[in-house]
Amino acid sequence: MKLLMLNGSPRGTGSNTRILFEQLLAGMRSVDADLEAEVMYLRNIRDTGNHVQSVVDADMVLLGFPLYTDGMPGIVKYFIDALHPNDLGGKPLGFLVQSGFPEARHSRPVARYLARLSMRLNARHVGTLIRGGVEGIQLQPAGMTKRLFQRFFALGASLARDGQFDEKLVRKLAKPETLNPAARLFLQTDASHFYWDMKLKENNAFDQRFDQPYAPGTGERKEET
Amino acid sequence: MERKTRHVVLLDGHPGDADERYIRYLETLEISLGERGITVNRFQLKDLNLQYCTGCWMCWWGTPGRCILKDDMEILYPEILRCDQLLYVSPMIAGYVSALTKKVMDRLIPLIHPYIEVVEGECHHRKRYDAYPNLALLVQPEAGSDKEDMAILQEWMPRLALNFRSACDFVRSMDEPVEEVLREIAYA
Repeated sequence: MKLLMLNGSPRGTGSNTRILFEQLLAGMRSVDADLEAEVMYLRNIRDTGNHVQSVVDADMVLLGFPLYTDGMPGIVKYFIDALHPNDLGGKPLGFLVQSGFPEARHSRPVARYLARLSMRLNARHVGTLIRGGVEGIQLQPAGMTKRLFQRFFALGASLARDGQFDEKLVRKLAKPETLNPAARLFLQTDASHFYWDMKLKENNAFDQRFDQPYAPGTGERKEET
Repeated sequence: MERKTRHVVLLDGHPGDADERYIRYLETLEISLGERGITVNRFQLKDLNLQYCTGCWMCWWGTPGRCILKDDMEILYPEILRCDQLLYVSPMIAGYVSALTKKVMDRLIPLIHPYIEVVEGECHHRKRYDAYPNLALLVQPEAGSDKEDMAILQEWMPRLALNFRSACDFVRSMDEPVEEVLREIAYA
């Protein structure tokens, strides 16, 4: 079987999507040792013709991306717009939507869209994986990501075995659907800014963090009559 | 606080040649808004030089509030911050707004702050500016568009607005009379 993994992250090989895709693929390979897998990066929008051709040639397609303004990144929409309804005729198609925000709630509208898109493309929807709280995983020690990676591995195995993602695992992966009270309390403290402050300081930009470069009334603002 | 729409920034995200109906619809809308004293600043996104967000987050942690991509977004940022309503107009393509429209939506993240706070019990980004325009979406349906396609957009836009620390005034289709859209804008 020829699997095509389309990585829709604008960060390309440096993306969290890539890391999660690798775990998924390892799980698939644990069941299907002969799996032929190709990974393509949609950020190279000049290659869209090749991306579409690879979809036509594949037996199964997985599209993964980070949540951007409650939807797919612009480059992913650019790719979707290049597809023809018969490019996927009857083929299995699955999705991964990962977000920085921890709650799955944010990814629900785009997941609804992706289910509808699968119908529009005459594809067989094998499921949409939703996972929040992903932004930090590249900084986390292996102990912290172990369980997450195991879940992706198991989901990959279920896809290779059953032809679709295990629904129970999909639901578990998406948790939390909304913030729990402890997380809400934490987010009201300055401690929740730690990651951003560290990055701001690394860039000597901490003192400028509240800048408003385009505030009305500054620069060349046209006076209203 | 009561809010009245006086100034609209209209971002036309049609990526190609719009048909007669699309052009007429927007013309009528613009003229009618003018008659009601509502000013419209319209941008044809396809004529602007705009790049896709690369997810570098320099606008959040390197050059706070500023995108490091130097293109025509620099024209749009101040315009967007001084209008009452940001009206996206797009043909529906594959059941969603155009890639060109989504490109601009992605590029608006410099206008908010990276810090996260709890709003309506959920994680959202903190405001960078004191106030933001309301959002609205007007789409031209495509062949095969149905209620579910519109319902998806109607679920999505208020979410987008919440993350932009704003509100969604409406999501409407060009299959509806232009008077309806006009009323929505005038009384938003």
